[in-house]
Amino acid sequence: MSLQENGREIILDPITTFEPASKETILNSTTIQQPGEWTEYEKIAFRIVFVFALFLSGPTSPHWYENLVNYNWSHLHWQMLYAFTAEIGSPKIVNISTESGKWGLASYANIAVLLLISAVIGGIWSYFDRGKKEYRNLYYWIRVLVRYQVGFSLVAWGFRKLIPMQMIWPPTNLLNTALINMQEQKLYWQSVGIVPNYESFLGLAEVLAGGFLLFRKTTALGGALTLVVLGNVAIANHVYDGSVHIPSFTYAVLGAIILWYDFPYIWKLLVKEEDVTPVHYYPVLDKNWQKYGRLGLKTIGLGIFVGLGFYLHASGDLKYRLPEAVALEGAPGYYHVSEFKLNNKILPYSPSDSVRWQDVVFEKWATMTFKVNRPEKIDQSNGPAFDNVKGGVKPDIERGWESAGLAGPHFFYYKIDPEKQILYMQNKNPEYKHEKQVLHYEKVGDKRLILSGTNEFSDSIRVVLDRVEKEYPVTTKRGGVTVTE
Amino acid sequence: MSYSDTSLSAPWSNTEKIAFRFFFIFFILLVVPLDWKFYRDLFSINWLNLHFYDLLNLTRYSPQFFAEETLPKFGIGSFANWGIVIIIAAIGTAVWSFVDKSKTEYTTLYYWLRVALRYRLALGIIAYGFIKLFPLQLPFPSLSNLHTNYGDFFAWKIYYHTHAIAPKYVSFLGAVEIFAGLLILNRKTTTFGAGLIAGFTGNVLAANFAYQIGEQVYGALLVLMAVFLLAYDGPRLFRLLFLEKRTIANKFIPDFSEKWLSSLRLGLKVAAFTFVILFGYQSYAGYKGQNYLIPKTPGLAGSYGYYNVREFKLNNQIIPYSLTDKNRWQNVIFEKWSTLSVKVARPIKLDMTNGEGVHEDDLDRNFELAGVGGRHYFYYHADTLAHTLSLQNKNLNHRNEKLLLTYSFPTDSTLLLAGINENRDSIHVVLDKVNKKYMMLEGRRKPVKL
Repeated sequence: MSLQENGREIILDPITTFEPASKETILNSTTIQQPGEWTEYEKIAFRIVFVFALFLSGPTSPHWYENLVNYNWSHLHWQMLYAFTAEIGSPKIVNISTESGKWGLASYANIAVLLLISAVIGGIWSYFDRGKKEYRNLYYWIRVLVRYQVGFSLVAWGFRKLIPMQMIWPPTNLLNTALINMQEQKLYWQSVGIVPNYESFLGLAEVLAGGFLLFRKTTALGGALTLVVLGNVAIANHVYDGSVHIPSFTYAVLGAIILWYDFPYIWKLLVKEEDVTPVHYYPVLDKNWQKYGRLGLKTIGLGIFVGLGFYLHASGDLKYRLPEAVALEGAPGYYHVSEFKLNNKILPYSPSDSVRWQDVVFEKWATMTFKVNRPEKIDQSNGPAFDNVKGGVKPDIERGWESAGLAGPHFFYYKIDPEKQILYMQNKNPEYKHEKQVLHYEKVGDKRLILSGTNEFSDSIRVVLDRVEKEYPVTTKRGGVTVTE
Repeated sequence: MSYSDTSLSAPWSNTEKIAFRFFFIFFILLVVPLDWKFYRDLFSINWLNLHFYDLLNLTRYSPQFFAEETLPKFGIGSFANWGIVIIIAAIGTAVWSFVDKSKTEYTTLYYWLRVALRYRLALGIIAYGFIKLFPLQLPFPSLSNLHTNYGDFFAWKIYYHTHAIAPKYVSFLGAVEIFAGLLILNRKTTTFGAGLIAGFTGNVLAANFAYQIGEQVYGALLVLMAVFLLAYDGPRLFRLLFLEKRTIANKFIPDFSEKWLSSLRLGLKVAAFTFVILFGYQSYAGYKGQNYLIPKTPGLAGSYGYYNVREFKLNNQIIPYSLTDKNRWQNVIFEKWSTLSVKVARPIKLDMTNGEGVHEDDLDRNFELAGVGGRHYFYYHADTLAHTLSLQNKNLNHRNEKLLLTYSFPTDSTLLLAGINENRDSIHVVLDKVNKKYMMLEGRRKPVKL
């Protein structure tokens, strides 16, 4: 239905205007100023939450300044977006080195201490600022800070999934490794890596949650999305020992703080079913420098953290977690070890042999894996690809994602000398860097590869590898594979 | 039915009326059990020996103009029944619009449609919540599945197992669903519940498409109902939060002062809560008892574990270890239940189903082999007096494979099997139980060497 008002047609929603709308209602737009004082309780709560939010979102972490000073600006990388947004707050004051301090309840100690300090500062502030009637102006600005910090961080996190690069397509060695040999966290991440479209969908959810926070009118929606999406991520990180529960939890808390502002209105409107006239405080920015300053800052912020961020992700290396160097030409695939000679003596295949290879894989990049019955210390890290000291991506051999959290395959990085047909191999596991092999390669026909030379124990080996063409149900459309070996 | 505020009778626009008529018919056809098969299922339930799965089936109702089995599992074809509903709704809308020209609004009917959708959606989502709260739908991966290569699973099974290794997380997800369902049973919190479901089930729906799980039609119905319920308060929230303007609350307060109406209301509420409690109890019982997806006969005493096949004789000839020999077993797993799985380099025609459903016979409980290759799965019957195992391949494509073996335990960790295999050849197998630590079970909190 519609009303005529001053000759202008005003469309009214049939559902929201069952009550005859008065002229005042229709003309009522955003109220700029709200009279009235805050209660004592509101003021004290605000002061504490203000300081707490400043700790979590403001430039309070020394680490952030280190990044700022040390950053290698000549190599602009999307990692910069995290360094300057996500790592801005939450200074580390306590660090508990027990198991619970990393994985359990005690890992929240730092946040608890920050809250405690906020309470103390809030208390002192309350004592000295007794005359103050309300903090609408400060409330506005702390919300601006939190909205942009969380918004930019989530958008950056989201981009890395929207353009599927955070969770990777499964490497061939992983396809040939049993579930029980994988860390739970590895399984969790990999389950997203096998469905890039879904990874993009999850990224979109984060980009939207963050993006909504960047605009005043969609802030409440952004806050609600941040609370549920990041709350779920925090819980999943606990369950799978994913190790990033603290930042996720922090964002969920900040999402709740954002939503808190609008929630009383929403509750009143929907649950109590009472009409609501929203009252918002917005600072008056009417001087030219204020107007242009706001516009300029907003444009620069969005330009860098959304526009440039998207460009850097889209043009970046999708496989930054994996070595950049490409594989030996024609080699990628899964191989049976048809013959294995150690010091000129044939070793028959046995699952219990600690030297004789089985299940050899050449990846599409410069990684070769084989299995032997010889335990290795497991790299329990997340296999980070970034150099947090120098900035940028680590050198190939240190990109540990593929080998971290996986038992069974032994991972070797290799360099190729195509003239002499030699592979110089080095164990990728940080604990076994000293293990090196020098192997001559010879291709026989299309599928056979013969490696000979010295292994990591300086013994002479000769290995005959035969490539097996395999189809993997997990990377095939359901029904695409009906028979497996 | 009357309502408190006469201003609610403000006329709707033509577009609104036509859209409403369409959605009304569309949803009523999908939601109200008009299909006779529902009553066939309802009356074939044995209430004295109730299984939660019978109730779950009822909550999953949707009309079947085409039987589900005859439709394509994936893609647009799987929505064929919706196509029929849309056609009927379109014709119905045209007729209704022609016949009912004088009607200016459908405020009351809209209310009743939302009542129907709220109850339908709540029961559907709470049922799914309970079978996650008590992890029935996603049992922990079997030892055989754990010893299967990542590449040998279909994506949907990876999705299942990734959740199944974290039962607490599954319980949490179930609790969220139950909470959201209770929110929409309460009229005033409907929007919060519908918002949660739209996000939660929307995500599950996206996963259904991505992992080709096969529940996309039902998932889409749940999401659609949630979105339709959200549409009621949506414009209000838009006006309050986006336009930041004075917003009028819902004025439609149903008046149940007529006796038959209040009785109907009470009856519906009691029925809904009885169902929730009954379903909750049944799924708890299902959780405490034997999981319906797993065979119920216990495995051979002392046999549970992973075994290396140290020696394998075929017709009295030793075959050495081999990853390529079609006859030579590589390793064997005895489950806690009467399933034995063998790794051998012989092709498997995969079980393409989801392994879902209640099967009385252990042989037919195929969840452990549905959507996964890598190993051959046998049901066995153990005769503990004669010390024999009679094996039959569980895979419908290989059911003709039958083996008859004698067994003995020379030591605690050694198991001897001898007899005839599926090709009537004699085999003699020496199994050594392997006691190893494994990455997944050790976790990442401490240094490990594996």
